[in-house]
Amino acid sequence: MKKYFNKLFLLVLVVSTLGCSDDYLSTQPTHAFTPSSALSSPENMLVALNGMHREMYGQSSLNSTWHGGESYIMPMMEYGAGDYLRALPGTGWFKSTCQWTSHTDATSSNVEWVWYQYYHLIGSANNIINSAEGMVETDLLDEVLGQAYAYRAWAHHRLVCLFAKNPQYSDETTELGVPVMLVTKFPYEGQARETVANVYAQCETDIQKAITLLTGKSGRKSKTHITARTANGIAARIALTKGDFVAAATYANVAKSGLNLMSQDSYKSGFNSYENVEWMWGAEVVADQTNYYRSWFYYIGMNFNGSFDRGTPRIINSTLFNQIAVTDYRRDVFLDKMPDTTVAWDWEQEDGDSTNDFDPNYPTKAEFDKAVDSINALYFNNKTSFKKHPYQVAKFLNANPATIEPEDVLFMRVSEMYLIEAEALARQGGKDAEATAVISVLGNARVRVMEPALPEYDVAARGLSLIDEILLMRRIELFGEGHRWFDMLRNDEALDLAGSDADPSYYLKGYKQDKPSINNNWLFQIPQAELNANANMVANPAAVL
Amino acid sequence: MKKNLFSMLILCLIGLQSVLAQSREVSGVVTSADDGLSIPGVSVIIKGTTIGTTTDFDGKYTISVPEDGKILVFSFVGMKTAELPVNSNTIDLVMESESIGMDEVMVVAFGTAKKESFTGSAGVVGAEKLEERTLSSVGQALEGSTTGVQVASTSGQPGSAPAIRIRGFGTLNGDASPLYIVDGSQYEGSLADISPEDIASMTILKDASSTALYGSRAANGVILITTKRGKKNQGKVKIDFKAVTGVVSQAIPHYETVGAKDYYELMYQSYKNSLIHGADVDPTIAAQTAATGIFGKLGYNPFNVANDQIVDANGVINPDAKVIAQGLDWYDPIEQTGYRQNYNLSASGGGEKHDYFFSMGYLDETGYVTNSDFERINTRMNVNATPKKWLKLGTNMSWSFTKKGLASTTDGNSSFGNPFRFARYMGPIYPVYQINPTTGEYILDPAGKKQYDHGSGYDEHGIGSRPTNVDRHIVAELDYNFNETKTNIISNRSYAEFNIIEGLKVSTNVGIDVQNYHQKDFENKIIGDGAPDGRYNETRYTQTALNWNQLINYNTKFGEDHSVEVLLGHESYDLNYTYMYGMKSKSTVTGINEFDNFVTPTSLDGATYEKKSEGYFARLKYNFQNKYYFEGSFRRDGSSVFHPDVRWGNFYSVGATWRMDQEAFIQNLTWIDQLKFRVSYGEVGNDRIGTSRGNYYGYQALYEPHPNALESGLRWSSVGNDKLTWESNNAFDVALEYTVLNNRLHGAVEFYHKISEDLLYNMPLSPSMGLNSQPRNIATLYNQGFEISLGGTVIDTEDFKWNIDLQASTVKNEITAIPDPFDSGSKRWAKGHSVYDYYLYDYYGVDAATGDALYHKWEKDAEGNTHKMYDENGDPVLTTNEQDSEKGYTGDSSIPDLFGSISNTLKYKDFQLSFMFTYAIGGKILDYNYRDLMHEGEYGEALHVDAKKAWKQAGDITNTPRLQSGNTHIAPTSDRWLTDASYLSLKNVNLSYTFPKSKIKDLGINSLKVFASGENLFMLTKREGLNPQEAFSGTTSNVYLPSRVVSFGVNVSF
Repeated sequence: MKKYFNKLFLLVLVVSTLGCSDDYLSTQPTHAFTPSSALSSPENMLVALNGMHREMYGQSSLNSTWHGGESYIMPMMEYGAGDYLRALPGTGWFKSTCQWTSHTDATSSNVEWVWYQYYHLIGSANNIINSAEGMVETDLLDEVLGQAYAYRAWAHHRLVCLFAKNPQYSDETTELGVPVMLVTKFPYEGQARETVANVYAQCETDIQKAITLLTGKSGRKSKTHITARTANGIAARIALTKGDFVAAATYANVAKSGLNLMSQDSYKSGFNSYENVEWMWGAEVVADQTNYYRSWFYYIGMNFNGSFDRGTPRIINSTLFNQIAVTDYRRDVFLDKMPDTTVAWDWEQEDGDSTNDFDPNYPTKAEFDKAVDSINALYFNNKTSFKKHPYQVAKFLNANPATIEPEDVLFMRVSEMYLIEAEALARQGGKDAEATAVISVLGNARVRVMEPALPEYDVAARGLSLIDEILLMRRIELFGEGHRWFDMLRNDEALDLAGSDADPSYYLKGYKQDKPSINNNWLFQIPQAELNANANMVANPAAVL
Repeated sequence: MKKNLFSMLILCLIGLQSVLAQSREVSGVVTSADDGLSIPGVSVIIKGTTIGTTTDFDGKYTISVPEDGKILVFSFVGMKTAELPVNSNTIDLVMESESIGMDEVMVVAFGTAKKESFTGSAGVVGAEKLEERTLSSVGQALEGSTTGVQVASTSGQPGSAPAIRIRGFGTLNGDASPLYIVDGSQYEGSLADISPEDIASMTILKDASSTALYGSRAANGVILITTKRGKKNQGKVKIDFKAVTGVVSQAIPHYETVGAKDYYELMYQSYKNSLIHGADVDPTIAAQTAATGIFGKLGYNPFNVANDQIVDANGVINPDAKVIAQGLDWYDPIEQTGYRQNYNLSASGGGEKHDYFFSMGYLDETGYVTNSDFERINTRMNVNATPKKWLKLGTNMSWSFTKKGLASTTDGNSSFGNPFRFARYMGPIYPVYQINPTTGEYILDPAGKKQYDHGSGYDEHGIGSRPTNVDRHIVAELDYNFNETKTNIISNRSYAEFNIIEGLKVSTNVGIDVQNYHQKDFENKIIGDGAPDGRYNETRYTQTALNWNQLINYNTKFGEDHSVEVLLGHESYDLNYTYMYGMKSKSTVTGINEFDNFVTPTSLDGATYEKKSEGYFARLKYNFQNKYYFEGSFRRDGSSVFHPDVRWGNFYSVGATWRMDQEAFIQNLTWIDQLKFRVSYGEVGNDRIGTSRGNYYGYQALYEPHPNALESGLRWSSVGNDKLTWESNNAFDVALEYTVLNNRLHGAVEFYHKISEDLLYNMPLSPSMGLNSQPRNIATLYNQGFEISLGGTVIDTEDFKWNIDLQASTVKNEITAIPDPFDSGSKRWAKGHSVYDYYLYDYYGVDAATGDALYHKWEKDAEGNTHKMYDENGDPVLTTNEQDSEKGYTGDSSIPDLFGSISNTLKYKDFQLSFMFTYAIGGKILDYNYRDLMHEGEYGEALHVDAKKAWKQAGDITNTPRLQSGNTHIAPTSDRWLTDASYLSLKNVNLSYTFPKSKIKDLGINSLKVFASGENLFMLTKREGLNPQEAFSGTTSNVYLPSRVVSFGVNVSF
């Protein structure tokens, strides 16, 4: 009996354990969701859209260097463009950008990052747009779709600016632009480059759709969200780049209507908060979503407490500084008399050579030390480890000086709309009066507040032509905010750092370059990763450096 | 039989009569070399006579030897017969087991097999081999142990495990590591968590026939690790104790770099050329500017001459210049002599119905780099019982705790926090501590201590800033930071086996590994990424692997000639990984590495990842007359990595063995002892897409959480692939194994051809797709090779014995189908090429007139293949901008032509010396470290001595281009950095002395051995500093170089 019992027991054991249940092999991730749930309703699509907003500024796992979207790309648009300079080699950040060896190198991670980041945003927008087909139209859906279209237009526009020649001085019907991506799906076959004209056409179609969908909607929760006004701003940028000045002026006017320019105090408060009245589009960064040393202010700020900021004082090109009127308070965010602590001054002049042995701004050590102390108190929370240099940029300041707290990131503000409108009006011809009126509003807003009041802004004071005056105002107003490279491309400006404090043996090929219309070195190289994986891709002409 | 016995008795009586006349009494003890225990029942016979006896219960014997009796013959089943001269009244013997014979039983998939019958290809590393090594992780013991196995010592960090490849590179995704099975269950922990002292054997299964039962997980070979168990020992408890202590140093020297004077001269060149070629400055002015200005670029003057007089306008160092600066060596303060101590104690035994093994061990190793160490405490208990005839039960429980300090923290190859990068590339003019620029002496703080020079300048001392690593300081950061990883692993294997009827067994086996990991990482507030507030992060995870199988085993015989063995089974596997990571910044006080001590949370993540598989399998073995063996296996596997429609795959193998030595025509050839021919074919699979956990959900497209400030958000993170399915590995293997010349020579010749189809790979998509990879089944490749092993006894005298084992293997790897060829780093994957064929720019040489680097242009044809360009005169078309060219196959690969090992064991009386060389011949290494030391002239970065050959003026004939800061075309990645990867390495030496029984038996000791051993003693390579074994891909990076361990130890058993 016992024997049989044993066998029965074994049989039960074997039968009951042989084979798992049908769903044993179905595992579901807990770190992620499937697109079918993420894109299943306008509510969920809004969440996917929020992910894109974060990707505009947040550290990204797309790239092994963990760059933070525009937090990294906007500074890249300054370091090679001659207004925002570094006084010392310091740490290696953006060195290759300064020397023009990164955007000219197809294998550079900078090139790949720009390309990949923008196409990732485009792909993410496509997922939303294409999932919405057949959905019932609601205000929320419109708002989600409007923003997705706006992203798609904005990103394609950024790409075509950087990777192709500007249509104003090239044949846009033959010049190769970038692939226009409207669908991202299997088999993921790489697309060929569209002509510049076609890329612009798509940008315009998309941004108009965005404006239509967003106009009249106001579900915005934060300034990362794109509104009708922001979409108009993007449209103005696209039209201005293309040379469609009538449209540019119109869009810019719509974008800025009803918004105020910031005050003197606000301008000098450090460009660190989305709460600034001028900010139309920007990111609020919270403490537990910090970008650490991939923050916008790490790259661009003065008193962010990173090794780059401490050891690499960033300065304004003094030729630009000298054109800022003394009555213009924007002059105050550049410290032309900053004591120079990058030099070991020989105050005692022990070597008997009396030339240049002391800081020219501070003839005695006592005065120098006092200046250093007061600067440390004012900007650096009394920390002494920050290097200082004349013409240092004090425009971007941490709310709490000498910390590594993340600050907000600015994508678009009202002044730019004034500048676009003014420029576009002036360039139309015959509208100088209107242009003067627009630029004067901005000019007057930047006149130092004093008792008695200073004279009003005079568009002719510098003796420049109207268009040059507007462009100069633009350089001053938007200094460091990531526009300069685009502007130089658009306006076909040559690069020449002569007369600035830039060291030619540091800047090397980034010291002097012919204008973009005759110089392919301005073109970003198509990234090697794209060339490798996309049989239809054509490289840009190799740079000659 | 009866008759024989009778005649023996008669003979004995005759013999006894003569003994009575003149004889002497000889006695002694016979013990086993395996465990030092006495062996009862050994037959002891006087050679040439029939006089004999057997050993008693305690292994003792006494025999009367007549006058003419010269030699005693000892024999016992399973042991080597020994003949000893009668030269004293006490003759003890340590008997050795017959280990090399084909009767050996080996551990195979789901069971054991006699080596004679085995139809697959496998290598075995036994405990006796492991004993000769001083290893923290048994992985290192695989190197040189068996043919076809390649080992890359990725990191020398104490407690790290090497990477292993068995028979080539059968996958593209970088996860071609073999499957580890510990005591029957898949093991997911680190090999360093298992004490090598606990291991009884490791079996390396190389071909499909031997691995097919592991189906889906077996494509890259299987390593079976079997831990020790107790032996039946009549109730006696055997105690073993081993203590080892040693010193740890760096096994491979540093690259040769230039000193301060050469450095200044070379940097002068770099500056001058950057002015001439980079900023269009007149050469004469450039020479002047560089002479007076080079100090300004480099920032530090370690000499006793003025800053503007270090180098003259001709670029020659001031003849009066002497280096006065102290402490310019950055390796010195981060290196130390490491120490290693290791103790192991075990007790084991067994009776008729049970056996047990218990062990405990302690290991403490500090690395040769500060802050790197490894500590392990481990215990094991293995108990087996047979309470009933029909029931067998057992459990094997191990626990280990490890603590690890990491020198390189979490930083990668190019990070500031990587000590190897930092020290290697720091220019030779920068002091570690602040020094007075005039006197070169240390500037001490009020307490009289040296102060770190952060490289960002000290105005008060007239110290400028470094152009490199500003505000970073690896010595200070290693000093102030804290990094510690603790793990504890509980591992259990339990089984129950039921004998239903004779030959039919049913068993169930459960394996569970629970690994708890806890890493603490503090970065200080003074310098580095933690500045200015200090920050702290913790990573914790628990990984639970549950492996459960049910087996039915049946074997039977039909008549005399036919025997059959059948196995049916089911297995499930569940890997669950759950982690949490957090970071806070702003430390309150220093020295407390806990979250409570920090103020602002900056990060908090966590998730669970799970991977499951399930399989049904069967195996049939048949043998005829112990001469012809056939074996077939089948397994059907499902994996959670694939879509439900395609997740099940079928795998199988067939194999046959012909024991030729059993044939009459061979048995007549007396010089042949054993001869075996075997052949097998099988198909196994692989479901590992890559190494990251996210790949567990390979087929699913995903969105990951990515909140935007306070709003929830999701980011598009993977595209998925519903059609993704099994990678299949189809292998053919044929071999001849032999033992000849009265067991003096043995070996094997093997050939394999392994086709890997539907290779899994995270295929790069063009970045314009918005995501740049998709898991796909993309290609087909094969690996094939010959493997030759030859072992022999060179000298075999009574006192002296010398055994040599030679191994040589080849691997040929070739992609046979790939829809779209693509570049993968320095390689390109295309039909007709191996996965490790270099695809690079072609460095042509130096333009003697300008010093430019010249590249021979490649151009692409319509098919996408590249060819070198020649002009109409047949001259190469050259360019100074490598990016103006395509890349091309250089004709080189990182795979060696031949690799293997040479092992020697020499025994002289009670001394034994064993040593092993490993070698590789052929193959190229792309030496990125060398490239980075031969840079274009970056201010502040160290230069290799070869940079002294750089072009300086028109007409210079050299192969090293001019130095020019900022010119990225001088030293980009190209075939210029390919270096012969051949090496010869003395991996291990062990010298031991075993005390004779007679001297220790009064101490109550069974055996006593003292030994000295060394690991990684030297390596011959093409370039000093090069580690050709760093990575299979043949590239080098800034990693922890292998450690050399020299140690002494004692091994005693009671």
